[in-house]
This record gives sequence, C-alpha cells and structure tokens, in this order.
Amino acid sequence: MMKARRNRKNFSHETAVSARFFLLLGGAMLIAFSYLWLSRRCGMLGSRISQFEEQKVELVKKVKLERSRWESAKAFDQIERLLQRHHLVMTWPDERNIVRIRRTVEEPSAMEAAPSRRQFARVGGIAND
Amino acid sequence: MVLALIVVLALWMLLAARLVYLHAFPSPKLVADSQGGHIIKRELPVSRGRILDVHGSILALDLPMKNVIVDPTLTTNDQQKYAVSMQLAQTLNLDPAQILWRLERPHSRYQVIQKFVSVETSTNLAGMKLPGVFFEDSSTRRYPHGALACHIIGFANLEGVGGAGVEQRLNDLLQGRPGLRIGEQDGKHRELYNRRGTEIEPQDGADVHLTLDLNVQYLVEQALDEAMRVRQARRVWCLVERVHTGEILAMASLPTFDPNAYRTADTNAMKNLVISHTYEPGSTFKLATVAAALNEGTVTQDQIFDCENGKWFFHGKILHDYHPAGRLSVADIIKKSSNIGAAKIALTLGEERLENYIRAFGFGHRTGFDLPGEEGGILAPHARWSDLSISRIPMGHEVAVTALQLLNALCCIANDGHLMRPFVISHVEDVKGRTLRRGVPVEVGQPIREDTARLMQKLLVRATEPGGTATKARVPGYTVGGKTGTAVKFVNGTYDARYNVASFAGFLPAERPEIGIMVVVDEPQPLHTGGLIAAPVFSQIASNVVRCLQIPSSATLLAGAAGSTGGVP
Repeated sequence: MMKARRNRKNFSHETAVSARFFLLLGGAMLIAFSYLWLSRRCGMLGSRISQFEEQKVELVKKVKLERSRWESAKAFDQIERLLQRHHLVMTWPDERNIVRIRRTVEEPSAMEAAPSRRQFARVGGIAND
Repeated sequence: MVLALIVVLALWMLLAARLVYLHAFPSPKLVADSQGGHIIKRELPVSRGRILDVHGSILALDLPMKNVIVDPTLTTNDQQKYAVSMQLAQTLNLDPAQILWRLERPHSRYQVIQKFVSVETSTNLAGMKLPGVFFEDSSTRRYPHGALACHIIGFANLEGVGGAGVEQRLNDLLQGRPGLRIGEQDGKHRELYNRRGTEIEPQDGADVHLTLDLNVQYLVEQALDEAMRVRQARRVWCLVERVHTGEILAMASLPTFDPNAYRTADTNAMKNLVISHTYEPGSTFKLATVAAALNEGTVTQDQIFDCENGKWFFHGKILHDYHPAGRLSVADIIKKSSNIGAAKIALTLGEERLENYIRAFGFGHRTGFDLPGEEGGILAPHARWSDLSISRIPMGHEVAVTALQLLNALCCIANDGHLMRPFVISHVEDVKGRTLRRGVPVEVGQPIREDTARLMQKLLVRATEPGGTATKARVPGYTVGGKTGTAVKFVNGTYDARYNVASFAGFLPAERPEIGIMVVVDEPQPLHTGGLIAAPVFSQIASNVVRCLQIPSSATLLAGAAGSTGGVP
C-alpha cells in the first residue's frame, strides 16, 4: 500500500517537472526564434536603409550634375553662341518703345511712398536689411 | 532513456548558457578577435559649398567625378592587358603605352589611370566590363560661367582648398566638415546597418551668396573686352558699386583666367587689379582735394584762381595743364581738370589738412574689403613730403591708390559725404538654411559735410557737360557726375609720356545717385586721355547697367520731385 502510494506520488512529480521543463524550453525556443526573426527583420530593414542611403547619395550627385549642366546651358557665352547660330540679334528696347504704366494720383507709387533715398548711413552705420 | 535525455538536454542547456554568457558578457579579447576583420571605419565625404550671385545663379559648385583605377593582378595575359589598355586609352584619350606600363606591374593591385573623369565617361567604361578596371568616387570644383567674375570667385585646388578670391577668404565655411562612420561589415564586405556604432554626420560646406550681379558683370566684361581690343590696352579694370550701401555689383579685370583650368593660367592674369594694383590716379584724385577745401571753407565754388595759362613754376619745377586756361573758378577747375588750379586750392589747405582729408576719404590704407590681396596704396605722411608734394599730390601724383579706394571716395561724395565700407559677400548660409554671416552696409566715416557733398555732386556733373573733360561719359536720359583722370606712368625711373593710365570715375543718376562706376585703362594706344578712352567705356557700361538694374531716368526722378503722378518703370 505504502509502495503503491509512493509510486503514484513519484509519477506525478516527474510528469510535472518534465512538463514545466518543456514549457520553459518551448518558451526559450520561442524567445530565440523571435530574436532570430527580429534580428533578420532588422538586418533586412538595415540593408534597405543602406540602399536608400546609397540611392540618396547617387541622387544628390545627379542633382549636382544637372545643376552644373543647367548653369552651363544658361551661361552668357552659350546663349550668345545659340543666338549667333540662329541669326538672332538682341537689343535693348528703344526708350520710345517702352510702355510705362502710370499710376493714378490716389495710389502713390512705390517710389513716392518710400523714403526719398536709401540712406543706410543715417541709422548708425548698420542697416537692418 | 530518461536519464540519457536529461544528459543530452543538460549538455544543450550548458551550450545555450555559454552562448548567452558570450553574448551578454563578452570578453574584450574575444570581441577584438572576432571583430578585427569586420570593423569598418569610413570617412563620409563632404561637399564644398556653392558660390552664388545676387539672383542665385551658381558661380561655383562641386561636381561628382570618378577616378579610374586598375588592378593589374586581375588582367591575366598579355592579350587581355593589351585590349584593356587600348580601350582605356581610346575612351580617356591617353597614351596606350603608358596604360600598358601600369598594367605590367604584377605586384601592385592599385594603379591610378586617370583622376577626375566625368560620370558619363566612367559609365561608358563600366559598360565595357574591362577586367581589373574599377572606379572611385571623387569630385572636382566646377565654375559653370568660366572666366566670368573669376577674380572675385577665385579658385579651389584639387585638394579642395581655396587659392584665391572668395574661395580663399571663406575657405573654412565653404569646406564643411567630413563625417565619420564606424560599423561592421559581413563576409561579402557589405555594411551591417544594425551594427553601426559611431556615426558623425558630415556637414556640407555653406553656400556663399554674393552681392555680385552676374548680368552686370557680363555687361562690364563685354565692354572691357571691347575696350582692350579697340584701344590696344595692356590691361583694363572696372568696378560697379551701389552708392548708398557699398555693395559691389561687378568687379572685373582683364586679362582674365578660367578657374576651371587655373593650373595653366598666366599668373599675371590672376591678379585682381581692382583691389591689388595700385597706380597714380591722376586727375580723378582732384575730387578729394577740392572737396576738402570746400568743406574747410578755404575756397568757395565761385572763387577765381589764376591758372597761369597752363604753365606754373612752383619751387623751381614747372607744372603743366593739359588744357591751358587763364582764370578759372573752383567749379571750372573741376570741369576743365586744371592741375595748376588744384595745386593752388591745395595750398589754401596746407599739407596737414590735405593729408588728413585724403586719409579720411580712405586713401593710404585698406578699405577692409572682403577679398584677399587688397592693397592699401601709398600715401606718405606730410612730414615726409617734399616742397613739391603739395602741388603734385592734389592732382594725383606721388600717391598710389586702388580703383576700389577711388570709387569708394567718389561714392562717398555721391552718398552725401558718408563713406561706406565696400563689400561683396552678401550672406553665408549653411545647408539647413541658417545664416552664418551677413554682410551689412557699414559707414566707416564722414569726411565731408552733406552740403559740401551735394555741392561736389553738382560740380562733378559739370565735368560731363559741354566744355567739360568728360562729355563722352554722358548716358542718354541720365545726368552723370564724374571725373576723368590721365596719369603718365613712371617707367624705368622717369615719367614716360608714352605710357599712361586713363580713367574715369562717375555716378548716376546725379539727381539721386544709385551706382558708381570706375573704369581704368592701362597703356591705351594711340589716344590716352581719360576723357577719350575711359569715359566712353563708362558710358557704354552705364547705359546698359541702368537698364539692367531698372534705375529710373533723370526725367522720371525730376517728374517725381516736381510732384507729378510719377511714372515708374
């Protein structure tokens, strides 16, 4: 009787220990796999960020190249060459050909509304604009 | 069975525990051993800042380039080496023998074939997939407008260090600060992003905005180019300044150089004559003498001086007038540019007062301009003057000035006697848009009263009226004030009349001066006077510049002053 009770007690204890152990092992494995998954995910995101960084560098380079091309294209000597190639001659308009819009008396012109002259020297030598 | 399982599990647990321990508490030695080959330390490249004009046109910028490199160990046989060298030589326009020589170095793995190759060319080469050829990133400084405004911009060398002009003066701000990245890489030399440790962001160089107007600069350089050609001059230089602020709108010296090819440029052409070349100004200097005497009240504008019909002995030496005259008023002495009249006016002042006024106008010392290489000119203290000096200095001899000093003095008169510090750097802005430095108009002194300055403005306008020396400086629709100058050059120990410096300094519109322009022509042939040589160039430049800057004509200003409705262009 005593022996049978002891056996039952032993059996339940071992089962409980192994169950807890496997639970712990399962948990550890879960954490390990989560860690691996997260690590891989971070690695993937990191490589994408690196790719974007490289892409940004390349785009910045392209912008610089295009800026340089644009500046060279609108350089004065280039425009003159094009004008000559197309036999175009540009001149300033004659004073008589300039149409000046005259303001009404009620609406003072910007020049009249402004101080008579931009005299920076009168404000202690340092201007505010 | 159970026991065996437990033993195996225990071993695994030990192994796991060891792994956790190694991860959680790694020993420095192990870390060093494992990471030694994987750690990467990379300097993050930085871009030099741009230089822009007042409208935002780019005058200088960094351009991405590539360096073409070969690894000779990757070209296995002679046939392959020959093919690679021929392809590279054809694309890069190089000598194939030289490339072959570099390829025949079996112990070297890094041979530079050519630096600073354009991105297009390197893309073409990459498309050929030549064995052992690879590319490195690099950059070079590019000046899209070539020689235009070269003396202001200067240049930066291949190491990215400014060597002249704004590039030199603001090198620290333009240069920026390279970044640093310390991290790890995998077996395939790919960076592991999640193992990045130290990351110091690179700080790109700041952008420098100038007060320079590229349109005005172009008009000026075009006019100077023509003048140099037509007048067979040795050198010409010009400066355009905004009267009330001291902002420099254009500054040009001819001959010029292309900053894109500064290494092959003539060193003489690299000199910014406007600020670095001093010369005897001749009659343009009279404006300081007359202004000083009027301000001191030692003379009045109507006071008559005997100009001795063009010949006057003073302390045993003869003084000539280019246009001989008898009795002239002070106003006419300016108009006719009488040397004898100017000398006699100076005598009313005395040496000490004359020197004080000349210095107050900014002569004899640097103006404090933004660019490097500015000269202060030569003006001896009056204690060291000879007996003749009081008669020679008023007409611009025995002194040396820069064009910048002279125009600034004229602008002082046009600005009612307020002397401004000239400047060309408007502001410096970093990549985040923060202003690091701002150029502001600064008054450095007031050598003469406002009423004297206004009187001087009127007298200087008379020089461009019929009978004056500067009638060729007139600009249709605008009243111009100014002064001509013709100085015989001091060559080989003597004044040689064959060599002259012709100049004209003027401002307009005289009713409300906006801009001052100075033109200097060195050794023009065969004509040589300021009125015939420099004044027409001034007129040509001013006619275009007033339109470019939309400066109201004199008629518009007068109509506005008379209280009419006032048309605004």
